[in-house]
Amino acid sequence: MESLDVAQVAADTTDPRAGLRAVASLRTLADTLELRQVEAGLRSGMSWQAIADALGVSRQAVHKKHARRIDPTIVVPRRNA
Amino acid sequence: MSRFIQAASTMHTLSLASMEEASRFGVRDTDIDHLLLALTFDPDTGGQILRGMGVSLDAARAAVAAQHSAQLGLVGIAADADTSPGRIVFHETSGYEWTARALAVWDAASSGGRRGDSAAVLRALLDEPSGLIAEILTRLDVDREALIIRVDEMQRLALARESTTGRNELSGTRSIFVPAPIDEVWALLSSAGRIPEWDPAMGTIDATAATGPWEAEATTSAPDGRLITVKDGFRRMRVELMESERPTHVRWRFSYPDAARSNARQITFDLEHAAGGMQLRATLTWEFTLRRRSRRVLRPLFRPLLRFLVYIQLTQIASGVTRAFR
Repeated sequence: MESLDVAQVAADTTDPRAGLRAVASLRTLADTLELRQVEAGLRSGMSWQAIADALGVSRQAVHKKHARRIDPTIVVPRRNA
Repeated sequence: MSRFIQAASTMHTLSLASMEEASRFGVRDTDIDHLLLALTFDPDTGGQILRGMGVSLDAARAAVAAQHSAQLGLVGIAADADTSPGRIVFHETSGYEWTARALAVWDAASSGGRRGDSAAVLRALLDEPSGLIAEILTRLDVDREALIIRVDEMQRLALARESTTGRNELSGTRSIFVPAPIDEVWALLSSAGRIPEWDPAMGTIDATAATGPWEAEATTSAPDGRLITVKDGFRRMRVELMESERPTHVRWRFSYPDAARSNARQITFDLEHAAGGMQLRATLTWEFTLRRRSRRVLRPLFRPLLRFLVYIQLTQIASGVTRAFR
């Protein structure tokens, strides 16, 4: 992400309404990427726990958010298998 | 139609379309911008007003994408091709939900004397407080104030809606807007070989013969890969073209030759031109055999359930038709 000019972005608070809407778009993008990575992780055989560790959240949190959302064709490993 | 039924039917149609649009972006949280996109091809007043102001589905999609990439640009992120919208995968995926602000729009559309129809949803959307919809409308070159005035006028007129209950209780009709030229839609709906594209019950068809009846196989797996159990007598389907008037009217009949006591179904499509695309009326009728007296007595009890099933089947067919053009 070469286009990321942190100093300029951090300084640009001239239009907070537009800035806040931008953060909303950013959150949506982050959610999209998160789901994509979780699906990729499960496909490669990672457990929910391993995915949660990498994301820095609890296993329950990542399972609650994504269990129903992931591609239904993915075979999800059982915790005690 | 009662206010409750109307609100429920609007909500079902618009929800499905919004979630289909959300699925193109790879998200599960369906938001107000997806609802705006769904309204652009809504067959009812809300969609007619938007199209009357020159808002097409393609233009609205471009405006939504441009708005998000401009917003991401503000925080220094260049949206690349990898996150740009793809095809609709709603029917292959699950876990879709509304965002809190989209639910607030639904709430506003059906409270305080509002009818909960698509015009009320559009009106509530124009009032949403984040400013996202206003920005998208600016990109579409639509004057938000003028749009508000027009929606309010239409709601005061509260046009009488056509009744959907006919004398045959076991048939249902549904109007949809398809964002494509009438000739392309006709080509899809009048060709036997293309029926599996819009009929979720049909898996494959042998359409090598120029004229019917044709033979088809029922679907045995759902779009998301799950297997569907189909009873033996219902695997083979006979397809007949009953009526065809290019390019405005076509009627298909589907029957199960291996299940003697089964009921045949007929699907009629009526096509006409409309601003920005075409308007399609789909009618589904189940033919009932008159042999089983006991069941004939019981039938009135099942009627609400059967009507609901007809409604669901029509929704799936309508969704298949519009998906082919989005």
